[in-house]
Amino acid sequence: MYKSREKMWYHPGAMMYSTKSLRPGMAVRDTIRDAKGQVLVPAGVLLGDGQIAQLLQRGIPAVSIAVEESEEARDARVVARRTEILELFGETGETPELEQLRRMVLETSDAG
Amino acid sequence: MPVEIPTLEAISGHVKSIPTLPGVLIELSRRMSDPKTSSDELAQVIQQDQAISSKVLKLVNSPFYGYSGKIHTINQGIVILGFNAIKNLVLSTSVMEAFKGTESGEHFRMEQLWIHSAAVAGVSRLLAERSGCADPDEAFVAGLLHDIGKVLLWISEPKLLTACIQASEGHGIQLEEVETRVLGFEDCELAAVLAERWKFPSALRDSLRWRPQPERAGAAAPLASAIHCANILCIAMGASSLSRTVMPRPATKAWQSMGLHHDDHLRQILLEIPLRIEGARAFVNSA
Repeated sequence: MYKSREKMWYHPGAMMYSTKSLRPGMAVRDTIRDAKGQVLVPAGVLLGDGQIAQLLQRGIPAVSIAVEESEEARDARVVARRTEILELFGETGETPELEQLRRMVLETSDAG
Repeated sequence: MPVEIPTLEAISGHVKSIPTLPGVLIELSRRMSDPKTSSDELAQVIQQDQAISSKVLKLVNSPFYGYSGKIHTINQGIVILGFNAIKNLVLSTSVMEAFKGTESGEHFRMEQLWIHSAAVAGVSRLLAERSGCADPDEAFVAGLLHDIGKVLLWISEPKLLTACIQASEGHGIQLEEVETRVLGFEDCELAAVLAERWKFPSALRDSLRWRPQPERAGAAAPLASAIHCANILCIAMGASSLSRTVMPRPATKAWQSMGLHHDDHLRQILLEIPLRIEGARAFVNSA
């Protein structure tokens, strides 16, 4: 896990980093794929110099990196995103598809 | 004083003020239908238009395509990406070029619209690849152009579009529904008019026309379904063309044809969307 702060708690979050700003030791939060969907680096891998060079070479613009954040910061982020989602979907359940989408978007948002 | 509501035909008249697409596209389509045409010959056709050639090369070497600095010629691009991908890039850059310089308004931001459109393009491609039901390159172009009718409406009737957007936001009604009530037609009908004028392939035209109701697109239903679902997914993940969007309802058949009714598949797609949105920004910056 890459330390985003001096003081940390152990709650995983994610932050987008431009590929140029990646450093060895950062943990990939979400699997990196190329434009054709092929896996370049699986989620959870700690990046090394070679992999960063490969991502730069492949022109990957940005990577989701696992960061450690304070419990308060994570909670605030999750609540803010949750509020956005609820505002967008409203009191949904209008259709089964919309309800499923709402549930899954909330789930992926809560997961980090 | 009563507001004069223009007809679809009247707004379509503004299509005449939109630049025509370059002859290179027509020539490409003609040559592609001849199986004897070589990739060298096709590359030569594209290279006749220097502005388009350089934009296509810039795009394929952008982070969006992931071939940073590796593709130096159109011929190389055809070999690596395939001819359809290059042809669709020629089409995409030509359309974006035709609308370059369109000014934004408080409720309609051109940059936001293009980033949304490029994100929908990327997710449409992803859905087409994973479902196997549509050509991924065609899905990309259809996604990129799915809101082109809104741009035409914005150019010809900015006050009316603004009023529709405000009514949609204020009453929580789909923009398409407001457009139908106020104007008597939806922006996707304008997209079809433009596609007709630009002699787009019929599948592309029909997918743009029937994006809100993909089951009505006939043979183009798979393509329309890909952009219908991609549009909804991008909005759900925060990449909308408008600042406050009313969530569209997914069409059941389209949703199922993309396999999105399976939670695991939907979760996987949702997790990949943030990177596609980042890629969309790169695409718009390079176009």
